[in-house]
Amino acid sequence: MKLDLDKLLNRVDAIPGNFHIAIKVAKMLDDFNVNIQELSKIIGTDQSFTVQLLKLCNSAQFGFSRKIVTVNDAITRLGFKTLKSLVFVVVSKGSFNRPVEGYDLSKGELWRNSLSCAVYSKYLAEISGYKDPELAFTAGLLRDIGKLIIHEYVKEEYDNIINLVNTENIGFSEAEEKVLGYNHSQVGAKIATKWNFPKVLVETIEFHHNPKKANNDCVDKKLINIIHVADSIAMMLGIGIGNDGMMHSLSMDSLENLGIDINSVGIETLISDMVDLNSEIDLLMASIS
Amino acid sequence: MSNVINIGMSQIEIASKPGTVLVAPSLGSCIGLAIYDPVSKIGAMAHIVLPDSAKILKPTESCGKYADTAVPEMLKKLFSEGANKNKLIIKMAGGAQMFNFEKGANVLNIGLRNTLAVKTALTKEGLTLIKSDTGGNKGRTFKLDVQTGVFSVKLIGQNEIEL
Repeated sequence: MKLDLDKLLNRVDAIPGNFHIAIKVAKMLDDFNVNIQELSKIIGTDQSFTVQLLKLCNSAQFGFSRKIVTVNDAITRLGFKTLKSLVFVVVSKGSFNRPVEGYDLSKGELWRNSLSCAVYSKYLAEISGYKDPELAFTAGLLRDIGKLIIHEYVKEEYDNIINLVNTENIGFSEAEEKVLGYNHSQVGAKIATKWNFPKVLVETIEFHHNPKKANNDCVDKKLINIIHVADSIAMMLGIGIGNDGMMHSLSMDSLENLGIDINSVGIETLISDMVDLNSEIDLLMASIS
Repeated sequence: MSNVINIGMSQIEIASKPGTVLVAPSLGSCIGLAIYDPVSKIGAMAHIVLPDSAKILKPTESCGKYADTAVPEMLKKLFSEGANKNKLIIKMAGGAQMFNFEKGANVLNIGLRNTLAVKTALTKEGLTLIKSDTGGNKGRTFKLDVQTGVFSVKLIGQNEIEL
């Protein structure tokens, strides 16, 4: 069964939850001349959203002794970039923290996986000298948005997808594309484009399983490599692992691009360090529960 | 009513209270290792992430993270609770692997290296693995009921089976 992409995109016409706030805020924060009062006003339009955002800003991981009580205060003390990534965390929870049956993920599993990928991406950005670790966090958080859209179709065609994985010796995403016409990364990128996500996020969504397909027109190939490696390691560690299991491959070029030694010492040291971030992920989850 | 203890990455838990089930959830390349004394009904489980602490440039102090340190630590805890070395039943699950399509990608076979490292660490202690369910490319959940001594494993998308 091939997906009718137009029909599918029309079906998910409405932007879920408060994503429109996040996108507007992200665009405003990219402008150096942003008007802080205007920004506060947009964030403050939704009361429960503001409450959740301030709760997250006041969580232990930021360690402020004096409580942040207004959006203005949050902007001043956390800075634009951190605030932007936290805005995306708050709006993403509604979409990601739900069962995703087609991938055999119960409630909370894709949410933990997405937050883990976000934290791991930020870490990889920092150790590889990438210019904007907060952007890496947001890109890691959102890269699997397509799973939310196509999981029902994956459920229907799961046997055919697995059959192709086994008979043609290909990865799960490639098999998804062969059976459904599109894989979850491509569908995610289409939706993100429709919702006016910044181009850099559309590209990390589209190429997170296949960074080699990212051509020279892409805005930020290093970020694609970061998200690909973070996604792969979260999967390897079994975090929010679904019925696509570990049927994906990790590009050696991406590891090399981030300056990671391609030998067992280099890889195992990286994983050992990344596992130590799990307490931070637990804290993040608890802060937004 | 069973009391479930979830064992996160790098953790080791020991239990003897009737009704307790030790669970290593969402194992990818990690290993769930369970050691059980059926006479004293004491069980231990570790969620091992990596094979060898000696290979890590700056290893953390968490014994449960590495196979070579997790095994002696589990035994230390079991013996201090009164488990008998000659009675131990040892099983493990996990050690799955990502697809390797590229030349040189064997370096990513953490699952296999974990599996081998656990066996080596047990041999070093004069112990033998009774049964295991490792490899492949699907996630697993591994359980030990310390009252009944039943070990079980569930591959994602399949029914739970006794190991």
